[in-house]
Amino acid sequence: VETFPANALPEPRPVVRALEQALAHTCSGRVSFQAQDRLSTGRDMWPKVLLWLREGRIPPPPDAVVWPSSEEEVAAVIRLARTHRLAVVPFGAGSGVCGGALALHGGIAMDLKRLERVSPVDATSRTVDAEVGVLGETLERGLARQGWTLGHFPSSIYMSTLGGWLATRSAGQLSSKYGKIEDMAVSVRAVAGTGEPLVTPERPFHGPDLVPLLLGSEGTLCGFTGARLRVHRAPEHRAFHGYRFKRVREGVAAIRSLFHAGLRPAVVRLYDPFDTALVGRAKPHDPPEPPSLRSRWKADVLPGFLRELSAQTLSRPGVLNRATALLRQCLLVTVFEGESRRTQSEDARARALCADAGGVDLGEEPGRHWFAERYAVSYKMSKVFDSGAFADTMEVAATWDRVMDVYEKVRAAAAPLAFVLCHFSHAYLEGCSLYFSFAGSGPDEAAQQARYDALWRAALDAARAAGATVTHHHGVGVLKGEALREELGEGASLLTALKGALDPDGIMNPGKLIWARA
Amino acid sequence: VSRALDEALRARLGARFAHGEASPSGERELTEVLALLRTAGGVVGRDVRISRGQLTGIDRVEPSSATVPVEAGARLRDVEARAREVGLSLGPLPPSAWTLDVASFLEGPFAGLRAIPGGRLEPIAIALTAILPDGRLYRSLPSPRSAAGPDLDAWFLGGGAAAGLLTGAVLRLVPPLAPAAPHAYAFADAAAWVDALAEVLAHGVFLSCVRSRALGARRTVTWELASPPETAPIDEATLHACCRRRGETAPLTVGGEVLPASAPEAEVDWATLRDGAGTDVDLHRLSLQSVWAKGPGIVPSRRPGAAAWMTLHPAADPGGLLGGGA
Repeated sequence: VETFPANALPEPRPVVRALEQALAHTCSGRVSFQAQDRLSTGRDMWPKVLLWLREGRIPPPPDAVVWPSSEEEVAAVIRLARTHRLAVVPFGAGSGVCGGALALHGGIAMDLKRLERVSPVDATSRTVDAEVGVLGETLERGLARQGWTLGHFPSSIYMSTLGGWLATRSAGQLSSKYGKIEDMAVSVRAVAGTGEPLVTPERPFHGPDLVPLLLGSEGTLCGFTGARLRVHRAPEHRAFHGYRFKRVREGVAAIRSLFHAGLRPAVVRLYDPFDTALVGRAKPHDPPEPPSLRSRWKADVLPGFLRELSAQTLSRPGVLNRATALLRQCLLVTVFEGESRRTQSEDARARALCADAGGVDLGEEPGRHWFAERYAVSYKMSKVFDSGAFADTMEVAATWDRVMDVYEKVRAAAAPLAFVLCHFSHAYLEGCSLYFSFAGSGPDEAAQQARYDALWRAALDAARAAGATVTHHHGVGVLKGEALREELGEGASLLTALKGALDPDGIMNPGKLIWARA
Repeated sequence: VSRALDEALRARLGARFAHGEASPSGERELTEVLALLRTAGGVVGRDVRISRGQLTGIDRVEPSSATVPVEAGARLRDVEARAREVGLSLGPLPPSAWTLDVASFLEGPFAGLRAIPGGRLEPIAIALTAILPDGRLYRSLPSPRSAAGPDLDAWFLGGGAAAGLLTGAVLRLVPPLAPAAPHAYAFADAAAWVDALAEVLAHGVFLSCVRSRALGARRTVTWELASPPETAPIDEATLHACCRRRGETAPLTVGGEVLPASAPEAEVDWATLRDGAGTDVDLHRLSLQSVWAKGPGIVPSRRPGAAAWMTLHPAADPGGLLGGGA
């Protein structure tokens, strides 16, 4: 990816500048060539971008930004871009972590947040119609006011949109009960790269279901404009629990036993020993302290000391990773929710099964604590970056027979390059997701970026070799394009066929998925 | 074209090519058959039928992941028998599905879907293998879920072999089910039992079959749970609570008549179900999206496929080798 000095933003290309009036016409005047708009829509939360920014560089910005407010305006933008062979990058809220929103070929960033209308819930069909620009939290609050829930609670819920969820096949924290977004989308509306609107039919219909062929396309085939979503009555009750296991393998077996028994917890999360040590250490927010020498030490001196310490420690991850062998506790958190009696019954059955698997019952508190802090982790990575190091997460998925192999192989591959933590979540009858967190460092920015790239290559290769899919819910973007191509093998030709039919001129979010540069 | 093609196929397949039907013995031979067709300018369906009847292998059941790799010509009832040996099952499918082979169930009107708790449908196949029209091998990775681009398996499910010919699949199994223990409730009108059904599904109760019959002016509805033993008591309690809000317990012996085998069956949406809920009907593959219904009053409610599909499937088979899924 070509980057630019942050203080020398490239000017919009004349070919796009010349279209200012036409673009304004498509979107009722809502077009911008301003630097701040181009900078804010030309990136997402891919940690590599944060490394570039720290180095004083930026990813390639779009030439222009537009804000359509209807499906017709989306179609008009795409048709105009097609006429002039310009790239169109649909943009939601920019919470992606794989570089999917980068404007690699400049062109037009199409910010969809003005498409934010949401219908009242249809209680008969248990569905809601929503446009793609609505933020997750706004959507869920609106449903809650009517006594319903979508059941989709990604960590990014405050800063991600329905469109982003559809584009990346997102998963929420309660996916074990409610499924991923592909399980919730009854039908979708989109505009293809041809400029033609698409509406997928609801079952029953003749032929294949087009929804799975569009979801996960990350803007490379179409721009989503809306969806009809399955909703559920807001839960009457939640049952929280925590268990301690001596070994990861026992905890994994416990999760599997819950699903094989037919239980459907909304949440199961098993933290490996070091992740457990960090999660277990976390406490509810301390009350603010009155000014004193101690509070000044904590506020001013200690963070700087820790920054230096962590950068040095993370540059030698092998030592730290070996130290985790001394830890011998894994925390499993479960949450059941729904109708009261059913929830309590399932929780009781889960307690018995976890005890059979060797789990020590820790009561409700670990589950309650996790629930209270469930979004906080997304905001903790910035501290690592502040310290001069880097952090990232990799979520893969595998069937149960491969899960432990994936865990061990990825840890072994990544351990020389970064400190590695993992938790197991998003469980199903057939398997689960493994969510690795990496933290690393290097003597300078160039070394850090080299280590970052090497880490991802090693981790993805190991995951693939052990039989995991390269992403469970973060998507592909630029980061995993090569790994996706390897995962698909000769089957990639079917994705190419889709691209040829829906975006024959290749204007939709070029350079992503299998079209990412090696 | 046909004579030359016939000769080439006979030379390659011997007795496994007869009466215009080729029965390749494996992926490699199927690839060769398609290559011969391509070379001769032939079209599947028009010039030769392709059977996957030789591909009947059923691999070892993987008990921890509850999956089993199978070939496309394996009969579902044979797969079920193999799964039962290790205490697993394909789950409750519509009765007419059990006569099908894997490819027909996946590529045909069932679209390879099964119901799961929570009122949802999901593909019974966790991974597919297919030969594409250009001879390439499509093989998806068995994974419980993924976000690795679009789910390309969808090309094949309900696609009538328009994008490629399935040769195998990894099927999802479910835990052993508790012995069927039907429950019967009487409802004052058709709307009441349909509402109860929707609520039962939304609460996560897993049903294998629901039968509605006339009981004087009322309807008696028999519910068969598909719960594992661990959750059967929980499902029974939820079912009872939902039904008692709208009806009352009825004796199991009432309204148990078997529908004639010739009764039409089809996937219907809930509006169609409500319209026909006053007639005798058996329901399978129950989801909040659609149900598989069989009964004298069942009228298919299939909508036309998306117009986009008409654009898409030629993209997967630009040479028209598969004849649009003939």
